[in-house]
Amino acid sequence: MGAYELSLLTLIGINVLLALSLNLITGFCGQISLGHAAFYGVGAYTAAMLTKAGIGFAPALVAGAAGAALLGLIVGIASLRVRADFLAITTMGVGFLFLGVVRQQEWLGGELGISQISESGLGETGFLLLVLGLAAGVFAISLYIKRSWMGFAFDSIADDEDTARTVGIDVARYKLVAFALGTAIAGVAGGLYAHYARIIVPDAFGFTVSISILAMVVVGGIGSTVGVLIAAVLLTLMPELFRFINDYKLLLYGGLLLLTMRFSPAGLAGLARLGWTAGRKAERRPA
Amino acid sequence: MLYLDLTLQGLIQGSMYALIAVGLTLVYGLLRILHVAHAGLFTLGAYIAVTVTNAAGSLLLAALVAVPLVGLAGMAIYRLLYEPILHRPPFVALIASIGLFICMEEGFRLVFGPYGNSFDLSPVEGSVQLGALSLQTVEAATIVAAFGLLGALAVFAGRTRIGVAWRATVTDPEMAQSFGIDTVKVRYLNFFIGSALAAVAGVLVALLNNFVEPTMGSVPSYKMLAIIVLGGLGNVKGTLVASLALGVMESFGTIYAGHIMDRDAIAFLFLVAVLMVRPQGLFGKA
Amino acid sequence: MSAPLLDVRDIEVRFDGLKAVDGASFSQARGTLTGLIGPNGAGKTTLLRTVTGTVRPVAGAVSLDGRDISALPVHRRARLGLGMSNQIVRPFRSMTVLDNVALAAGLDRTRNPLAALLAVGRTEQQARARDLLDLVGIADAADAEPENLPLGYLKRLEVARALALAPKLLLLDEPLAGLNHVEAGRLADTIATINQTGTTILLIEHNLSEVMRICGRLLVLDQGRLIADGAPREVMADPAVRAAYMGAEADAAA
Repeated sequence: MGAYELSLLTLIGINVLLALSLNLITGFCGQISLGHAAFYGVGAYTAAMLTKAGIGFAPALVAGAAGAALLGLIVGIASLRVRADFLAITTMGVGFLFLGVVRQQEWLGGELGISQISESGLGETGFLLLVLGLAAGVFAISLYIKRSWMGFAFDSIADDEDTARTVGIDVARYKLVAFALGTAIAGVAGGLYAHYARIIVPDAFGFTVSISILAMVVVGGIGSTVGVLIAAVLLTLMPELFRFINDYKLLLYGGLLLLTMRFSPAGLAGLARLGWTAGRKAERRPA
Repeated sequence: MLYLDLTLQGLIQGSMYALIAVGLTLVYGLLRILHVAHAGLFTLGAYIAVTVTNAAGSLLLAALVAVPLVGLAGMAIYRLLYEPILHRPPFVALIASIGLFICMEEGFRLVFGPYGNSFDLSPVEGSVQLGALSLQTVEAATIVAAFGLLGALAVFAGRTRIGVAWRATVTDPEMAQSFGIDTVKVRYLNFFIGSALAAVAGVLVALLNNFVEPTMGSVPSYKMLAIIVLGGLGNVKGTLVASLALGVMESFGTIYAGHIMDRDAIAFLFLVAVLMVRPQGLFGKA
Repeated sequence: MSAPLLDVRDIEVRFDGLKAVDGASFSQARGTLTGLIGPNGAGKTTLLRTVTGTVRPVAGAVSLDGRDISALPVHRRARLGLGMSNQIVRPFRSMTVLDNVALAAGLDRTRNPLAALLAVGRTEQQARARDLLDLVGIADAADAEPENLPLGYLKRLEVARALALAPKLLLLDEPLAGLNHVEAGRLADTIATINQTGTTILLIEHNLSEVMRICGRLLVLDQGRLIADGAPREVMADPAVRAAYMGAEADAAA
């Protein structure tokens, strides 16, 4: 495998982690977040600062996850107080706040960010395997959660949280778990990204990044683990494979968000389900 | 003197926010949609102003073209995008709106180029003297336009038949319908007026900066959301107060808190802080 | 007789300054089936919701099984044995009818996120859910999406879901509304059976003939106040009740 393929696969793995992490919060638990890149950023900055200070890659990655989950819990607690519309705006606000604060911090490199971040020490192939292993792990965990009673309870909260309470679901605790879990994974993705790119700037964690992650979730089908995985791979590959798309990457993401919501709000997963049902109907029809 | 100057600058910025945010809060009041693409219409207004002025040499003509055209564009967005998905959960329209906004920005970039445009000749110059304070003519015009138009809007909503129907629909659509009000027409009117006001703001910003660029709507689009939440979604008076308050707060904040966070983060810090204390916004809900 | 299962003391609820419930007090003994009736807008649903916790009273206290639950959130009260069916149906629309009930039947599985995470498999709860659907007469719709069902089915789904919590006290808000005559009679019989097998029930219902048939006691609420309490025939003979009730009925008919 050439260096380009290695690098591309690593990027895909990181994006899959990000998309699946947002899917836990927005897809499974129904809590819309427009500021997911902030948690990604907290993970990246935390891990980068730590390895620069001479701490090992693994503990730095864990610390990045913990830092992101801490902020995630704070936002989660905030989310308990506001209704759905406000939550979208609040999470977006957290994203802007993160960016606005980081940009002004000299010790975080300000606008220029952090450069010369050390290598993971695993080698390029080793690093790729780590990223893909983590992505596969989160994919498996997502599938498991969906099958477990936690996924069942999440479904009810995403549907109608007032009614979920009347059947004994402690909505607040479940939401906090979703936020902590999803943001911790985003934090891991951030730590990985920092040691993949080896330079991070505030804009890598801005609103457009939050929207790109959201696009992967939305296009794949909100809540569908397989759909989100496929969309994350496709949306990362498309601009890379077709260079001309790269210039129009944002247009592509924006257009996909628009068209998906307008014509197939259940995303690729919804289209697949439609196709499946239509196919079965066609089979049943007598020849 | 510094305080007075900062306050005045804040009021200018705040009037601009008010012109844009009113349309947004009206859309929310009527349809419960967070209409992010509204800021794309603001940018569209600015671009039309610059393009027409440079081509025809008349700023007045440009404004007369830009304002109704953008109003119509707003109606088209309602008809083609929102109306078919009104029955879906609210996040569907929100995400669609974000998608549309990104497409609009990219569209401006492709059509007008990424580096921005200016007026060939600055169409408005000179300044106004207010006691010891000196204001650019455009700055004065901004304040006058904002207060004038929003005042006219208040009179229209309060005194005319259509205006009363409009307010009734925002307050209680079902009740309004049972009184024979055509609520669909009201929605079109709502989008037209809101979008036209955003276009006015676009024209004014183009004049203030003598510069338009594809991403000029980004910051306003998200900041407007903060403002309408603070103002109490759907609450026009609250939105005006929140706009002006934020404008002033930002102009002071940039001086006194600029080393901690940048100007655009102040709005969100304020937003998050307020929501924690008062989850329903500063002025309650519609 | 031992301490009452439910005790409601001096409940007062205000909406925008209006008193929706104005100092209501009553208690209900274990094993009874009590009807709560009154004209539209009397505050019946609001009163019931102060028991489940979805409405917070400005004053008053609610005790279940001798324990003051006034300060507890909705989900804790559900776990202590309160099941409620809504007047306006609220099924979980992303789930099948069966899973709507199975989720409630899995109360011990969902008690906290960790327990829920470690638990997989719903067969047991789905089997119980199927029995309950059968009990309320909608087992044929077990695998349907709530979206596609008529109101009569969804009403009974509400009852089945509340029952799945195995509540000590079952609160039913107009379960018979929207059902035809035969269905209503059958569901009323089912409610009586559920009561006879040991569940205490408090029932809001406008279908007076069914209420008179199955309830052992009636409470009458009018303009937020309890105006009568007793055996159904005595209560219905009370002139004050007739005035409140018939007056409102006449208004509604006009």
